Amino acid sequence: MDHGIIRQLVRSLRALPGVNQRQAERIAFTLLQDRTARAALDEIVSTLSLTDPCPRCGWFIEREQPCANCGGEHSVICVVENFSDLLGIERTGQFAGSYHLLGGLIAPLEGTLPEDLNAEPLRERVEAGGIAEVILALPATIEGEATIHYLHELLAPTGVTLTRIARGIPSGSKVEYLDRKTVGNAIAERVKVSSGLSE
Amino acid sequence: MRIKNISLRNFRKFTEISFDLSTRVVILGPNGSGKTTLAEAGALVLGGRSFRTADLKECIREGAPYAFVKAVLLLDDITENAVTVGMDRKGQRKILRDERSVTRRSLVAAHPFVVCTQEDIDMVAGSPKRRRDFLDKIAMGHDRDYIDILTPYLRFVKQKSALLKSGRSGGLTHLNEAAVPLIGEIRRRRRMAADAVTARFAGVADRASVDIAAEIRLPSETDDGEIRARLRERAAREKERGCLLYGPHLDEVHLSLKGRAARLSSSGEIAFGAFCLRIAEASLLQDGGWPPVFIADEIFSFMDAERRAKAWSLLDELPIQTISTFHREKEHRWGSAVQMIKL
Repeated sequence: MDHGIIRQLVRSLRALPGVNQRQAERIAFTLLQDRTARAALDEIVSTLSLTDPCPRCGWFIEREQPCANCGGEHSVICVVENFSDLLGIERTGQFAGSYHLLGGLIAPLEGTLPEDLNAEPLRERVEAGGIAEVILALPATIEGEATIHYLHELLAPTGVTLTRIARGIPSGSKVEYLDRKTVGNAIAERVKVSSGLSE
Repeated sequence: MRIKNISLRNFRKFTEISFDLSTRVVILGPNGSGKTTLAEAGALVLGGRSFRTADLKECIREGAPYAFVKAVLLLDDITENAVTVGMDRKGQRKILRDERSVTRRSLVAAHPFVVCTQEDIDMVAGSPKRRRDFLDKIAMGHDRDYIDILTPYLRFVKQKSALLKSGRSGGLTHLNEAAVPLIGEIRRRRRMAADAVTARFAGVADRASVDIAAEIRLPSETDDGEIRARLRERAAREKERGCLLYGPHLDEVHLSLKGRAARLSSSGEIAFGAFCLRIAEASLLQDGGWPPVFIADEIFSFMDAERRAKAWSLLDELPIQTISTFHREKEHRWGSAVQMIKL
């Protein structure tokens, strides 16, 4: 029995992030046997055919339409590593500006260097004017810190205000149980207390 | 803290064996009788790792599919932890504390111990890596958060090493910049650890009436500006050679005994110096919380009769559980409080 089609389907599915061999096989068999699943896949493919990645901000654009993320008027840009981080910030409902997806961090082990990041278009967006602040929402890891240093160097000549998200005490945590680094960061990055009373 | 009892199943040469342990345990036996295996099993239930091998498969008795060491640890007069460390032929390790799976890190944090072996001679007279590891362990005992500085630094070393090997240069300055505060902090913590150890070492030598003052010298650059300048100076050569040439993972740690480089001392002096460093480590750990367990494996081999007697008296007066292995029975006046396990 020739399994060429199944092998080809599994290989294609394995190219998707987070899909392992076993999962790819299960999805492949489902697509071969289940009409509803196949209809859903057709819909995905036809939707994708109407979109392209945005060359400026790393989001996506619908054909003939301006980018829903960077196409409008925004004075604050929030820089994130990837789509998952963007969703994390969106879920807070605290940010109303535009995003910029870097597509990675400086990480030579993964083969990512500054020139591989979607950073030049960020500088161009800032230089185009109208941007008052760039928020760097990048992880507090060695890769995140190296990327923050790189972006700082890249954007310094533009004069834009560059900030990074605070590293501090998680909600509901007690200071006595937290590690020294977290408490130290929270002290260093403290914010002014507002009265909270109505005027 | 102490080990109340310990059981071994399929562990190295033992099919099944178990012991209740007192606070002063002496394991006696000829070569190959399993003395070091018992000491190794003790360290394994306290720290989840063998001091003889990184590959736990080696600890499984020939022909057996798995092995485990089980122990009841007495944290104070009333609190007990039942710890099991199991290993199989696939190289997988499982650690259970009170029947719950735990990480090696949490096991180490809860059960301090010191292992002193003949390999410690390398810590005194060998390459600086062993001395850096020793200081890092002391710093960790003083403040567990030190791991949150060491781990990202080691990640930096891997990232930078990959960059230098790739032959590309973009990103080097940025990676270096991210590591600057970590480098300074690691050196500050090691300096504190070195100061604490040498002070305790002096106390230990004094108690044993031995003239063997120790001094530890480390790189002095802890200031961000200085570190940045050094990293910049080395960058061109690092790119040329394709490897890191600067950082705490390469730092020299000079140890001198009686004012001269330790490696130039006699083998007896080196062995005694290593032993005193471990006693100092135990004393520092004791300050940090629960008293550690002291495991000493055939450490007296390189010492003369006088040093052996002094080392035994230091071991005997430790107010913590000690588990020691010896080759010969008539070596010391053991005292009535000693529990003898003859193999």
